[in-house]
Amino acid sequence: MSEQILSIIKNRVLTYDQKLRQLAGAAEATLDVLGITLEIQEFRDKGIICDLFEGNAPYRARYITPDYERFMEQGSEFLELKPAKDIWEATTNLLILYNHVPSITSYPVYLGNIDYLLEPYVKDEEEAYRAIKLFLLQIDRTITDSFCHANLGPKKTKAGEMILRATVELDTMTPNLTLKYDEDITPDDFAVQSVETSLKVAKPSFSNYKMFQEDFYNKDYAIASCYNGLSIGGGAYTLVRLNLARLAPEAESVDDFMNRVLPDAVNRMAQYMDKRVAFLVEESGFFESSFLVKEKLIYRDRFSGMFGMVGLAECVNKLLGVENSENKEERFGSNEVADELGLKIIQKLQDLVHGYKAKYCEITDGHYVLHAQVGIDTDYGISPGCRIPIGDEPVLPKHIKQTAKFHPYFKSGIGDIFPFDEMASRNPESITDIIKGAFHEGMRYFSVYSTEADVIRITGYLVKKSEMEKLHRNEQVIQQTVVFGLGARENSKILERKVRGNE
Amino acid sequence: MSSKGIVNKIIPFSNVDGPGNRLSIFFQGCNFDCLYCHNPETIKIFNENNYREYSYFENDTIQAMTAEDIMREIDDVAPFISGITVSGGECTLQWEFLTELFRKVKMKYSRMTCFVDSNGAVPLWTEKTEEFVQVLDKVMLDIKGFTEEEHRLLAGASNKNVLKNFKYLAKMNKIYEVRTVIVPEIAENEKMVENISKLIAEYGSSIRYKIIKYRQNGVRENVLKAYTPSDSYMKKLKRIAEQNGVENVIIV
Repeated sequence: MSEQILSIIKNRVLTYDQKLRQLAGAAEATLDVLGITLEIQEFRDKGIICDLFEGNAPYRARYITPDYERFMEQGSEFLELKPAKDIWEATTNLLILYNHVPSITSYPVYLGNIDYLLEPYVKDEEEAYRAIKLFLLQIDRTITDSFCHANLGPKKTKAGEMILRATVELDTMTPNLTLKYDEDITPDDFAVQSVETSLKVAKPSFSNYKMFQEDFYNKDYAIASCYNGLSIGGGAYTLVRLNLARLAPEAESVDDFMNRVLPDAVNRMAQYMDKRVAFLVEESGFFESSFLVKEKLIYRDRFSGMFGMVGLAECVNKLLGVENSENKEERFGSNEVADELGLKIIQKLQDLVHGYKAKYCEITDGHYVLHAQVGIDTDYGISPGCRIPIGDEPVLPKHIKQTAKFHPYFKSGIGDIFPFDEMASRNPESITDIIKGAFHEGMRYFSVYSTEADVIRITGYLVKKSEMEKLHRNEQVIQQTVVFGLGARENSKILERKVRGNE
Repeated sequence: MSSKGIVNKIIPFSNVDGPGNRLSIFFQGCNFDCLYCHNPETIKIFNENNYREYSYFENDTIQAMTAEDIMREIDDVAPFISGITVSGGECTLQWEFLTELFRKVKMKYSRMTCFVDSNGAVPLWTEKTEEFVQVLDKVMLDIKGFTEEEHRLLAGASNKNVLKNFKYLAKMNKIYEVRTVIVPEIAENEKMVENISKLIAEYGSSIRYKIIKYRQNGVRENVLKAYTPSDSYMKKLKRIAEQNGVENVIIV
């Protein structure tokens, strides 16, 4: 224990800030207050259940998605801020609040629909642009974690266009951006500008506005962290994941998996989540003490728990005995039987998770919500969520149709990433066409980047290739996410994704 | 009227054959024989009865397809595309088939556009081709050379019909873009670009002019040995086109 702490202190690659956070994590790790049962611990030890480094005594919700609209209207008593009168005050107020919105990373994972928040203050366009560019620069250099996510749209605004323009000029990793896209609301030129921006800096991603709206009962939603769909004024208490790739070997047959192994695992994991949620809500005092609650920027009853999963592809391939097959046509992604089994597993998973009554999850009908988790840097040979493994990807039209079948199940987040070649950059309309089609087919979330760009999307978050190189040479980097990016680069072949162009 | 089209291949997603994402159909058979042809396997002309005899490559994909066959391919990717583009070979050699195909596309998907990538050699101003020109949306027209001599040298055929087609289609606002491939040291490229630009500007300064760098990919080595022109040379040609009144010039 003290050895571990000393090694954090003496580390030459971590920045001061990164050390501080790791030391806090080490302190929390000394506690054992959740009352984890042997059944739960067995699956944690096997890597079947993983709490994604959330700590042993949760004292803040994992993801917090404040109602920034309300903040802009009322200012803050606790922070002694009055509602803004111009663009400078508006950006300053937001930056101050961001500094006080915690999360699992200690940084805010959601910054609001920043275009709508700033649009009322766009008067003189040149001045507004300067303010917005400085605002984004400040975010990138002080919120040094690219799980930090801002939203745009679906309507086109002047502020939105300026944010895209400044993002390209700054060439930054943070914040991650999502355009809430609805072809009936978002004009084509704004969608095309978004694609052009993506091809330069790997963001914004596109979220299917219609689909999310429906899933959130026509209330607006936030996209936070990687691509997590959450209620505004709430968030997620916790995200624990079930590693289906690790679970598959526990089963003797497909039937055994469906009828014994999967229900048992869901039960163990949901119980673990119950314990985490209960400690946070009942013991930690977070919801009693945070000014965010007092000022009605968040409400306890707009939070839920995210039931994550990874490794569907490997699970299916293992259950069908085709994991070592030479021919990808036999595996998940290109094989009808395998894809069909994948769907059955997810349908069953949904039934089980929705059938398990979870306390404090009023906003999501009293149960946890499914999330296709993007993986962690140390995952080896485990595909994120329901994604087709890198190297097994079929041609784009087939790929989209395959993956679109899984997206409706994952209200709290799922997504696919497609790198495009240089030719596509000359015809960004071709990509908006593909996104429109993908959303018609039922995809929820679509990310694009260009193989030519420095900023690329790792699994959900963004990292610069040049920064990974720096870290690879043992140099300090400002963004802690680069560490994860480098891990994924080494372990998950993320630079070998099938590049899309004419096919 | 032929009931089938002779198709070399279909690309379901193409981002280089007109606006947006398009399904591109490459028809077999061409009436030109360009020095720099980059898909010479599509030159030889066949009909429904003899296309099977051909084997340019070991795994040729040439097939005789009905319009319904092609519609099924379109149905498969319909949500993802802005329309279709027919190319080749020279697709307008099969204009009757294209007319039928385009009619079917428009009937089923009114939002989709039908583009034609053509060398302009088949007369389109005639009475019998009137319906074809009506139903197509836009033509991407190659003007491979301006003078009769340079065109014969580069494409192995006259360009009289090409220029006449250009004027006819431009008046009907059916030209999406004009394209010229630039091979160094064969034709007088500066003069050629100047002449073609003047012609374009006369008919509509908003017509896009695409000047294309010659590239070795796929070109028959026994027919043409040449090199790719430099970026600075291409920029010079672009300036010439702009000086002659074309507003939208792009280099690829």
